[in-house]
Amino acid sequence: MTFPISYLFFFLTLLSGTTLSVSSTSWFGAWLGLELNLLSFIPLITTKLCPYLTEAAIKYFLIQALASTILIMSASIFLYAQSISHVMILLSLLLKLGAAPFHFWFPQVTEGLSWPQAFILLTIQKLAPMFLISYLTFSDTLMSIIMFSALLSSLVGALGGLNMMKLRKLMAFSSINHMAWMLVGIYLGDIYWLIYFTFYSFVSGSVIMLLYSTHSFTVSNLLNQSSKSLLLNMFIPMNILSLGGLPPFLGFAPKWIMIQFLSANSMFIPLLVLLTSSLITLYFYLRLFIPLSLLSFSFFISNVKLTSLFSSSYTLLSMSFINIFGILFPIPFMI
Amino acid sequence: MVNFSSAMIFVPMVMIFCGAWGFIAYSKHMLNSLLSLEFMMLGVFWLMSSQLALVASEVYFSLFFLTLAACEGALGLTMLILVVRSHGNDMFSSFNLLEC
Repeated sequence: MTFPISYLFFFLTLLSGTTLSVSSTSWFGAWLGLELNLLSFIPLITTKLCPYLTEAAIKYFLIQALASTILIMSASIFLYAQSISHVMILLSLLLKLGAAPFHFWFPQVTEGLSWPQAFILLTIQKLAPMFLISYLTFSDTLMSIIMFSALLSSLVGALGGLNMMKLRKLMAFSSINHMAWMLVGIYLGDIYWLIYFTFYSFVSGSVIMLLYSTHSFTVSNLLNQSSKSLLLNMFIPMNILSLGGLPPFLGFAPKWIMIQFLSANSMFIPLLVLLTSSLITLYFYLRLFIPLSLLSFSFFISNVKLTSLFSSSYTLLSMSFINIFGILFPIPFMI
Repeated sequence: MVNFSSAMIFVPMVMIFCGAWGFIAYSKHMLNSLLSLEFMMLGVFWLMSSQLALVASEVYFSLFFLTLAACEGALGLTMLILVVRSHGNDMFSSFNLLEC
């Protein structure tokens, strides 16, 4: 897919909206940045006149506009009813984020987008509401709402993805599950969710790049092109396992950090819920590539084409390399 | 002398609540949702300008708000045109391609 030059402009305003809302000192400025973000994301996702893109754009627009209106309304009643105002700002930010009680729009919108747009929705669009939620951690009510939303979104992300055969919906539910870890990271402190967000962006970016380069949108797409390249057959399981958070890969590192700090703060029940739901997500990640690697692994097929081993792009190769050997990366942080 | 300050809070809140109710409950056409959103924005404009006039006479902030609200309304109408061109109507019952 090639993008016209005007998308660069809209992408820059998207990033500047995020920056504006993160660095603003008032809720009005935060609302301004979120509106700028929304107004520039809609032209980015309506690239052509296709019913799927249109529907995703409409659902995204209506939800985000409602959340923005609730945010600016509750920021306006701040002088009158302070605690209600904070709670309603937090709820509208959770609606913008797609966290658990308000998650119903998120898989549908992700399903309608193409892979690069889905990557923007899964990572960059989460940045501003996450930062604004991390500013709202000064009272017990807000903290307990954040924790409730985190636990519920871990369960929803795990159980919702179980029956999914479409890869974009599956990535959306996996993103909801990872968002639970980030919300618990907000509960612990700012730096933890930032670390988790950085790692998650990288790992999900590498998975999305792999799926985009193979043009796969369902599990059967992934199976059909399996006998083409040996390298892809190795990379798809490894990247997906990294997203699932298995120990030799990069995706384990933020989970390791979170597990360590959660048990240091003796928050064992949230840790138990998060780990159990991550196990369920690991089940549906495994179901993605078990048929790929057992039934049609090209190493066992006689007509394997070794020439296509080097046909992948170098960016894909380097990202997968960091994904596989990336567990060595957080060692300076852990010491 | 009647004190209007609590009325200046509650009347816009009722307005916003009615807009949200219309947004949630009466969703047959998309135009209805967009009108409800604009109605909510109008209520927020009232609420916000009364609050800002109360604080430090910085009513001009509400002009920023009005600009962004108008941009959002224009984008909503653009989405309406887009959905009529791609789906043929603006009923919410026809937006069922992406459901789980």
